[in-house]
Amino acid sequence: MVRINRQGKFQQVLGLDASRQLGLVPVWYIELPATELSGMLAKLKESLPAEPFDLAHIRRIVKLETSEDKGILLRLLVCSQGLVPESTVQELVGSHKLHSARVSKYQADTKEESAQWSQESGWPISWRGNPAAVLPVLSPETQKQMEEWVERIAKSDRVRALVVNPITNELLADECEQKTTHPLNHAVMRAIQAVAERERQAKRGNPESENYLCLDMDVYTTDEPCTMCSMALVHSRIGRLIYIRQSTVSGAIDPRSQLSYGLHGRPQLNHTFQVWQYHLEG
Amino acid sequence: MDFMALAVEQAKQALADNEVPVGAVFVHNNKVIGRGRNDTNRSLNGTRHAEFMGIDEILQSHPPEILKETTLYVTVEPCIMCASALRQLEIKVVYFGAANDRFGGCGSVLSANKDPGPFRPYPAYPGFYREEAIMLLRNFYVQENPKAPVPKVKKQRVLKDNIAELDYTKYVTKDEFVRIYGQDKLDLFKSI
Repeated sequence: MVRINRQGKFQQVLGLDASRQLGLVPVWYIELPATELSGMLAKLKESLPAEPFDLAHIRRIVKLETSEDKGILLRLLVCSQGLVPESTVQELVGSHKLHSARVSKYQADTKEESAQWSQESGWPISWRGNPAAVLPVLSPETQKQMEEWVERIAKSDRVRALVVNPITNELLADECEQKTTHPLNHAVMRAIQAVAERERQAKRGNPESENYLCLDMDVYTTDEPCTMCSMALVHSRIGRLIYIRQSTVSGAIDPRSQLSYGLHGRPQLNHTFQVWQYHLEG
Repeated sequence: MDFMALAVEQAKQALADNEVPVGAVFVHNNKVIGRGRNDTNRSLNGTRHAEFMGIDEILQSHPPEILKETTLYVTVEPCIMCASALRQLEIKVVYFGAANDRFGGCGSVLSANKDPGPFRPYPAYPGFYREEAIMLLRNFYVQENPKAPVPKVKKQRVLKDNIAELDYTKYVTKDEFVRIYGQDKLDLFKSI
C-alpha cells in the first residue's frame, strides 16, 4: 500500500520505505489455555535468542474463544521460523502442536494500512501510531511561492533547474542543460556549480560569508533528476526538490521509476530531503 | 598497477590541500589523459570529486567518446554520483582502492555501474593500493571539519592502523575474481 500526501498541486514523492509492499516473516505459534500462558511465556523468554527482525509491532497473543469447559483459549506466537531448529521449538512447547503462520515484517504507517496488512497476513498487528510516519504539510503561502517558481520553468523546452532560498525567496541559480560539449553538464550539475561560484564571489567581498553548499535550499527542476544529479543533490545537502515530470527510465528519486533508487530518502546516505512532484493540470 | 600509484600521488596532494584525499588517473592506450583529486572544499562545490576533475581535463582536449576506451584508476570507490557519471560516459573499466561504505556506487551502497538501466554497464574492481587509500582517508578524518553544519569535536580520535578484510563478493563475481586477482587468491573471495 502506497501512502499519498497531496497538497494542492503538489504530491509528495515518498521514499522506498513508504512504497514498500507487505513483507512477511514465517512464524511458529501454538494454541493453549490462558491458564498456561505465563508459564509458557517465561519458559520461551528464558530459552529463545533475540529475533532477527523487530517484531514488536506484532500482537504476540490472540484470544481465540471462551467456552464453558475449556475456559479462555489463546493463540501464542512462539518465534520466527529459522530462529532455532524446529525440533528445539517443539521441545520447548512440549505437547502443544506447532502451527505455521506469516506475520508482517514492518510496522504500518497508518491505521488503515495496519488493518489491511493484518488481514492480508492473517495475523494482527497492534496499532499504537507510528511517529516516524507523520507527513509534512505545505502551507497555502508556501504552495503559492512554490507554484510561482514552477511556472517559471514549466514552459522551458530544455531541462532546467533553479536553486531558491526558501526563507528569503531569493533565486540563487537558473541553469539549463548544456550537454553538447560536456555530456555531464546536466541542469542540476550546472545549477550546483553556479551556487558554488556565487558563494566564492561572496566570500571575496565578505570573507565571513558562511553559506554551506546548498544546505536547506529548494531545487526546482523540469524533470526528475538522474542518478548522478540526485546524488549531487544529496552531496549538496538540499532541503527540498520540486519537479514537474517523472523520468521513468533514468530517474533516481521516485521509487516507481524503473531504477527504483529513491535516493532522496535513504538515511544511510547521511542526508535526506523532501521531494514534491508538481501536477500542472492541478 | 603503476597507474594506481599515480592516483595515490593525487590523493596525497589533496590531503596536503586539506581536501578529502581521493585521487584519480584516467588512462587511454597506456597513456595518462586525465588526472583529478578531490576539490570540494576549495571550490565550495560538493560535486567536485576527483573523477569529475579528471573528466573535465580530458574533455578540454578530447571528444567524450574517448572515455569508452579509457580505464579509470581511483583510490576510493566512486560514489553513486560519480559511478553514474562514469556510466553515462561509458567508461571501459574502473579499478579502485578502498570501498566507500557511506556513498559507494560500485557495489557498496548501490551498483550504479551495472544495475539494469540506461547506458553500458562497466566492471569495477576493488582492492588495489587499498591500505594506502584507507590510511590517507584516516589521516584526513582525524582532523576536524569546521565547515560542517555541526562540527564534531574529535579530540579523542587516534589514528588506527588495523585494516579490516574486504568483502570482494559485493563487487565482483567469482569468475571475475579469478580472472582479475588470480586463482591463488581465491581464499580472499568470501562473504564477510
